[in-house]
Amino acid sequence: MTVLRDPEGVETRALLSHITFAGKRVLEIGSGEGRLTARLAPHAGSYFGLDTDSERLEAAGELAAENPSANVPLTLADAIAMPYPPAQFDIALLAWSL
Amino acid sequence: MEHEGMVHALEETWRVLRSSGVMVDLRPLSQEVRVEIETDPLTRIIAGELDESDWLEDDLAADRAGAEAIRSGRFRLVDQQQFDFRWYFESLDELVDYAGEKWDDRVDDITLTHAAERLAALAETARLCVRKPVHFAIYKKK
Repeated sequence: MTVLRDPEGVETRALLSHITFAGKRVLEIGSGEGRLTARLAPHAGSYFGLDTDSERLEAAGELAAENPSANVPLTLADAIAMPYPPAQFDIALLAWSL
Repeated sequence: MEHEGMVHALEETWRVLRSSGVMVDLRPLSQEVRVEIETDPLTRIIAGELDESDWLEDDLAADRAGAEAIRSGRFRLVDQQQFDFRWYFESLDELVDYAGEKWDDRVDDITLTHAAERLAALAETARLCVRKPVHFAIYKKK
C-alpha cells in the first residue's frame, strides 16, 4: 500500500508556525507509528515519544532508523500514568490521542 | 479514551510540564470528512463524505476535558487553529482497502461510484484523496 499521508506536510507547518520547538524539550503523547515524530523531532532541542501500543512503537523505531535526526527515546506507557518525574518538558503534544 | 481518562491524561500532562510549559491538543474532527478528487492543488471535487458521526461524542468529551483543565486552574487556552489533513490514494481499490483497515469501511458505495465517475472523466493527473479537518488547541500551564 502506498497511501500518502499529508505529503505536503501541512500538519507540521501548521504546528511549527504557531509553536516554537527550537531548543525545547518535547514529549509527544500518542506518538503512534512515528509519522509526526519523524517530522517534528528535528525541529526540537530534544524529543520523546510515548504510546500504549508496542507494535506502533516498533514501527516508529523503524521509521526513526531511516531518519537519524528523528531517532528519539520511545516509551511504552499510558498517558494517565507517565513514567516521568514532574516538570520535565517544555511542550507536551497530545497527538491524535485525546 | 473515555472522558475520565482524558481528564486524568491532562492532569498527568500538567504534572510533567515545566512551569509555563505548553500543552498542544491536536486531533482530527469527525465532521466534514470528505472523499475528494484533486485536479490541482487549489481545485478539489467532492465525491462524498465519510460518516464519522459516531465519533462526535468522543470529540465533545475531549472538548469537555479541555474545558475542565481550564476550569481547574491548571491551564489557560492561548490559541486554537484548524487545518486540512489529506490522505492520497493511487486507486479506488487502495482507498477501499485502507478504509477497511483504518476507518471501519466508512466509505459508502455511492461515494465510491461518484469518485469512480469523476476519476474516469478527469485527466490522469487527478488525485484521489480523503480530507479530514484537524484542530489543535494550545494551552499554557498556569
